[in-house]
Amino acid sequence: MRRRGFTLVELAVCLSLLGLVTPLIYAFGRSVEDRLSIGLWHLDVADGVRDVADALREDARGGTAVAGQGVGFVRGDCAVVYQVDDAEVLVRRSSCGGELGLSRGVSAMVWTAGGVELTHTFRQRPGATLETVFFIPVDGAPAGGAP
Amino acid sequence: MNRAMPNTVPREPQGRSGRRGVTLVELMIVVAILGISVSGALAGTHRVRQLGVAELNRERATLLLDYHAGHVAAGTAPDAHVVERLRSELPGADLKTDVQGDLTTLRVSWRDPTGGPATLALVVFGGAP
Repeated sequence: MRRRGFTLVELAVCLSLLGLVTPLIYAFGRSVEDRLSIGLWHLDVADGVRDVADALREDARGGTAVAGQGVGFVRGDCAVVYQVDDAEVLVRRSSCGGELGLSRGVSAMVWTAGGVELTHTFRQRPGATLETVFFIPVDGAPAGGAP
Repeated sequence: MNRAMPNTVPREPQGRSGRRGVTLVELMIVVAILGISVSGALAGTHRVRQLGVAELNRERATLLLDYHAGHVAAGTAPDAHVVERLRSELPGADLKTDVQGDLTTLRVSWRDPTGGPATLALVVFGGAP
């Protein structure tokens, strides 16, 4: 049986089509990935805000808010501070011992009038950054917000 | 012996190379399957994104309800500035208070990312301040 191979024209057409379709597939995959990652990030933020709000509420009931470097409370003999560590995890630290990671992807947490402002940042890739700011009311927040 | 009998086996169309090509129906089926797959993937990811935004809004509504509930239970008036700030972050937010005896029902409704209404309610022991 004599088999015929590809002609140069057929190969050129095939490569041209491949060159057209590949960027489309790449763009489509990237779009799907972006949408999914943003959706999952929102779910993650909502989960983190819930934990932060619960912790703040408990500290506000059991202690006194103090203005200073970051968000903090005095609970009896213990000082409680909320700090964002190098890995962008919001950690609640108590001088009486105990450290609790509350939310990840946090870029800032500051006092503001009537509560705190919690900022989550999502870096999808260089040049594409999303930010969500949550206002969490705290009874007894330092007047005027940040000192 | 059968030399006069015509060939009754249908012959498939053949190209120059002797191989059968792709029919239009086959091509349409492939394109349709691809189209359904792509639109399904896009719709699915869009839904995930909407769910994410809906969850954020639900969290904001919970904060608004919690704040009000705390003041209703304590018998104090909520700070108007705080309420306004919380409401401004929730699209189409509307807070209703219904007092019946010692029970106060707080109901917050807002606009869902899909455009429909969403509601969250909380019953608190205590009268409205």
